[in-house]
Amino acid sequence: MSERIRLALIGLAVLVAVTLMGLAALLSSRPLEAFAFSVFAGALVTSALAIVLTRDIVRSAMWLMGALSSAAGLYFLLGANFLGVVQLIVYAGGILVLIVFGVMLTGRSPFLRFDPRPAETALAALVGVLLFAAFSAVLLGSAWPPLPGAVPVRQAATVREIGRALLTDYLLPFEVVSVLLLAVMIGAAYLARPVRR
Amino acid sequence: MTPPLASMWMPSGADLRLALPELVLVGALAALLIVPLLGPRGARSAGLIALLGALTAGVAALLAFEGLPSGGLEIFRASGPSDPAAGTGMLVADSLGMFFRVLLMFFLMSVLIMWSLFDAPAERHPTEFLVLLVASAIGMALMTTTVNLLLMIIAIELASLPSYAMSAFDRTRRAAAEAALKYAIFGAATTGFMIFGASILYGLTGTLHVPGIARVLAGQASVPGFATTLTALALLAVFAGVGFKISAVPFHFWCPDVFEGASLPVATWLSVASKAAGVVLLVRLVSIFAEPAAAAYVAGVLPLIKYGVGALAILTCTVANLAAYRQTSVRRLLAYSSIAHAGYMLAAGAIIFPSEQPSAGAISAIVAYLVVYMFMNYGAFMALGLVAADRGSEDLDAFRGLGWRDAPTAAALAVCLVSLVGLPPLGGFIVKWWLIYALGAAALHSPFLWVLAGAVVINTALSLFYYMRVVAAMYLGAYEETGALRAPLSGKVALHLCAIILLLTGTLWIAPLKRNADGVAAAAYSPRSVNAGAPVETSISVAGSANVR
Repeated sequence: MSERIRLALIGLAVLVAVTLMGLAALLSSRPLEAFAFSVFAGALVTSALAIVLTRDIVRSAMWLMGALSSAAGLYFLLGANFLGVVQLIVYAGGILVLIVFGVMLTGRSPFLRFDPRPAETALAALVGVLLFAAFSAVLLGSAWPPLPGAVPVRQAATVREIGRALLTDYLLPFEVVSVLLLAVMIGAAYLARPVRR
Repeated sequence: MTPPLASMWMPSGADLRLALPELVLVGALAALLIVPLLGPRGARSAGLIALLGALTAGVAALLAFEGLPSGGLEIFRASGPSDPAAGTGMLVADSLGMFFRVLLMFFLMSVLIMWSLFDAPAERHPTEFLVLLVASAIGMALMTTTVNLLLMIIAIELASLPSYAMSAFDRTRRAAAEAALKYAIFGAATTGFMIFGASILYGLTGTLHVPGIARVLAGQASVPGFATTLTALALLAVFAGVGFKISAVPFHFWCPDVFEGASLPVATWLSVASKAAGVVLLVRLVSIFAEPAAAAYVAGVLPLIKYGVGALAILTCTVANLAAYRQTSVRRLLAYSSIAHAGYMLAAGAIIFPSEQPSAGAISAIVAYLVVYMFMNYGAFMALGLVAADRGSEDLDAFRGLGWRDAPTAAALAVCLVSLVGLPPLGGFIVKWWLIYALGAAALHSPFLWVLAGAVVINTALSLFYYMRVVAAMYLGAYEETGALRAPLSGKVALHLCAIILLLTGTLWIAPLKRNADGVAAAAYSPRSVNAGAPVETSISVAGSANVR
C-alpha cells in the first residue's frame, strides 16, 4: 500500500514540477523552447543526482540512461542533430548496455551495491564542488561566443556534410582511427580470452 | 559549388611519400596479421616481420630527410568543402619529426631484440603483442608530427590504448592487470580533460589547426574582455593529456606501477618511446603557441605556458628524485629515474620562445638529450633484464657483488647509471650540460629561469645518491660467490654497445652530436615560414587549387 502512495507522490511532484516549468516558460519570448529546455535540463540534473545518490549499481546505470538521454535532448535543442543521435546510439545504447552486462557477468549478486566510505564521499564531493565552481566561474566569466577573428563555425552540420568532411578533409584522421580500432579490437580480444596454461 | 571529387579525395603522391614511415608500419601491422594465416606461425617469424617493418620505416624516414625544406611543410592539406579548414595541413613534415621517427624506429628494433631475448621464447601470443607494439609506434610517430587537435587526440589514443593492453599482457600476473587498470583509468580521465580543452579551444577560435588557433589567440591582445582564464583552462587541459604521456608529476602515478607490472621490454618501450613522443609533441605545441606571439601578446597567455611548464618541470624532477630513494626494487627505481629525466626535458620546454630568444638552442638540447637518454635507459633496463634472468629477482640485493662476479656487465651498467646521473666523461653529462647552458642563456632574459636551472643542477646532485646505491651494491659489501651471469650473450653485447656509445658521445662524438642536433633544431617546423601567405580566414578556396603543391 505504502508503495502505491509513494509512486503517487512522485507522480504528483513531477506533475507539479512540469506545470511550474510550463508556466515559467510562458513568461519567456519563446515558450516552447524554454519549456523543452527546462524539461531536459531538469531531467538531466535529477538523474545526475540520482546516479550519485543511488547505492544500487544497476539502478545507477538506469539513471545514467536518463542523464544521457536528456543530454541528447539538449543537443537536439541546440540544433546539433547528429551529435544527439550519436549520443543516443553510442552512450545511451552502447555504453549503458556494456555497464549492465558488466555488472551481470562479473558481480556475484545482481543487487550489487556501491558503498563508499565517508572519507571517500567527502573527498569526491570536495573535488566535484571545486571543479564545478572552477568551470562555472570560467565559463560564465568569459567572452562567449567566439573571439573576434575566429574562423566562423558552420552551425548545425547535416549528416551529409559530416560524412563528406570525414572522407575528404578529415580522411587522414578517419584512416588513423581505423588503425586504432584494429589495435584495440585485437587487444580486447586477447585480454578477454580465458587464460590457458 | 560542387568541387571535383577525385582531386580532393586523394592525398598527393608527395604527401604519401613523406608519410612513408607510418605507411610502412601499417603494412607491417597487416603482414603480422596475415602471415600467420598463410603458414609460418610463432614468435620468430612474427618478430622478424616487425623488425623488417621497423627497419624499412626507419630507412624511409632517414631518406625523407633529404629534400625537406627548412622550416618544414604541412602535408595532407584540407582542400575539400568544409571551408574553415581549407588549406591547413594535418601533419607536418620537418626535420624534428623525421629525426624522431628515425630514433623511434631504431628504438623499436632495439626493444624487439630485447623482447626476442626475454619474452619471445615463452610467448604464446606473439602476433597480438607485436601488433599492439607496432600500433603504439604508429601513434607515437603521428603524435610528433601532427598540427591538428583532432589528429593529435587520436594519435595520443593510438599510442596509449595499445600500451594499456601491453602492460596487462602477462595474464598470469595479478600485478600486471592491476597496473594496467590504473594506467587505463588514469589515461581515460586525462583524455577526457584533453578533449574538453580541445573543444573549448575550437569553440573560441573555430579551427582545429594549432597554428591557426595560435594566430587567433595572438590577435586578441588588445581586445577588452579577452577570455584569458578560459584559454588558460583549455590549454591546461590539453597540456594535461600531454603531461600524462610524459608522466609529468601530477599525472605520474601510473608510471612506477606499470613499469613494475609490465614485462621488461614493455617497460623499456614506455620509458623511452612514450615519453620522447610526449616531449616532442610538447615542444611542437609550445613552439607553435610561442611563434606568432609578437611582443604585445606576451602579456597574455604565454607566461602562463612558460611558468606552467617550468613549474611542472621542477615539480616532476624533484618529486621523482625524492621518491626514488625509498625504492628497493631496481625496476621501480628506474621508473622514477625516467620520470625525473622527463622533468629535465620538460625544463627545456619552458624556454622555447622564439619571440624572446632563438628557440633552436632549447630544441637542440632536447634532441641531443633524447638520443643519449635512449641509449642509457636501454642499457640500464637491459642490464636489469640480464640480472633478473640469472638471479630471478629485480631487487637491489640481486646486484650484490656483480662487480666481482661479472666485471664487464657490471662495468657497462655502471657506465649507464653514471651517465643517467649526468657525470663526465659520458654522454649524459654532455647533454645535461647543453640543457643547463640553454636554460642559463634564456635566464639572462627572465630571471625565473635561474630557479629552473638551479633545480636541474640540485636534482642532478640528488639523483647521484640513488643511482650510486646500485653501483655500491655491485662493488661494495659482502656477496656470495656464484660466478658469471648466466644470461644471453646478445643481451650482453647490446648492453656493451650502449656503454660504448655513451662513452663516445661523452668524448669523441660531442661535435657530431651537437652538429646534428643543431641541424635538426634549426630546420624544425615553424608556422611562420609555412603559412606566411595563407591566412586561415580564407573563406572558400576552390578545391584542388588549394592543394597547390
